[in-house]
Amino acid sequence: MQKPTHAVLLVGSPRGQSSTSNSLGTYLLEKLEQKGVSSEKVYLNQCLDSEEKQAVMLRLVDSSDLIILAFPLYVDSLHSQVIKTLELNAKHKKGKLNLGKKKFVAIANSGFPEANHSNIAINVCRLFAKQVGYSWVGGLAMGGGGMISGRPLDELGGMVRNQKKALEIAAEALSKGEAIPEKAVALISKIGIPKWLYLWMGNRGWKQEAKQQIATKDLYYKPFKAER
Amino acid sequence: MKTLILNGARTENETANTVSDCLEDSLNGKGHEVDIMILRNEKIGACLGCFGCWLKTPGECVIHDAGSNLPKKVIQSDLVFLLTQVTFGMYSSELKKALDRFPCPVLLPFFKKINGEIHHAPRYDKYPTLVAIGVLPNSDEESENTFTTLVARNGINLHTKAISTIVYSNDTADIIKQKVIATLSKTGVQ
Repeated sequence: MQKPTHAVLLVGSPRGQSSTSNSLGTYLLEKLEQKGVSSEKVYLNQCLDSEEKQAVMLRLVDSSDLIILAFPLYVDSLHSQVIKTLELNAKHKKGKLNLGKKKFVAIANSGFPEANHSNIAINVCRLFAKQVGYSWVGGLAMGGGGMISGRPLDELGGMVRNQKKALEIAAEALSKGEAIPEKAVALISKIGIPKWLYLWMGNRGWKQEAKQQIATKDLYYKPFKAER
Repeated sequence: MKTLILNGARTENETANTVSDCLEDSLNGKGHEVDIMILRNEKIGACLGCFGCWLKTPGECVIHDAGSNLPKKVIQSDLVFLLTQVTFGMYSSELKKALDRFPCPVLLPFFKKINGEIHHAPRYDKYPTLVAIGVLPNSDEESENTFTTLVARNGINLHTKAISTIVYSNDTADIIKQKVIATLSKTGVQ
């Protein structure tokens, strides 16, 4: 397998730098850099509003042999900006040869505790790679994204030990030009706190956040009556 | 009955137009009030992921553009049609920019267990039936299966019945009409 020399991280969250997608993708990039793979990062929420910015993003993808897409789950699939990016890449690559040397990886996260919510989104990324002609080297999906909330993984202690270990295993394999091992896929899906505790903290967290701006009861407000 | 058609074709697309025309004719013929949004002509910004629709103005999006009315339009419809080119087994970016703008406002931030799996709890008592019609250049089992699964998952997360149909670019107008009629019958529209 051909080892990659340069990776690009496409951060697909509308929250950009302060996103969990950025936290996960950055940790993987750091581990890849320790293994000699140089890297660059693009925030997709900042690069789609002009043709010039789109061209810069496409050039960065062109100059990389490992493409990492990190994104949050949005309505069971990918955010519109991520889909737009995939559409632009597919159009840009149409008819080009030898794209199989480029490897494509996806990292999905969602706020649900179960990682399987992201199965479709990962499959969409695999279909994209197949249709464009990239080598699909695997997808990682984690639930419980609320545990990270855009913070660096190294600041979160044991709560994200499984996610860190999974990304380290993935970096090891990817740096050798290999696909992500199943062990990493399984490990990243395991949240580091009990599910009941995550749910309790999540539901309580929304009420606490709401208190700073509105009355808690207003969280349940129905502004539109069904006219049916 | 009220029907909302979100036409998410990225460019002028003959097949998508034929589907939209067939839907409009059939639904008007049954006395429906039909609202069609051609999304590529609308100024709809991407969802910011700000949670403002949960924490600042519950139930309403904080972005003020053509997407602001989507939660209202959706919740006041009996049927919502999603018309799209199937893109890597998924919706087009044009459709998705609209779709990203309404599920959060019409749902609650809180978690709820449904069939052993966690989802967001409903904000409203009732949601419109969701019908997605995907256009593909030709038969593609992987893309079709992914699309069908995606639509079914949307139904679970939006607490409603969800139906999907695939049409091909080389389908004749008659075949498209038959598929539209068959799809409408699945919704229970008389």
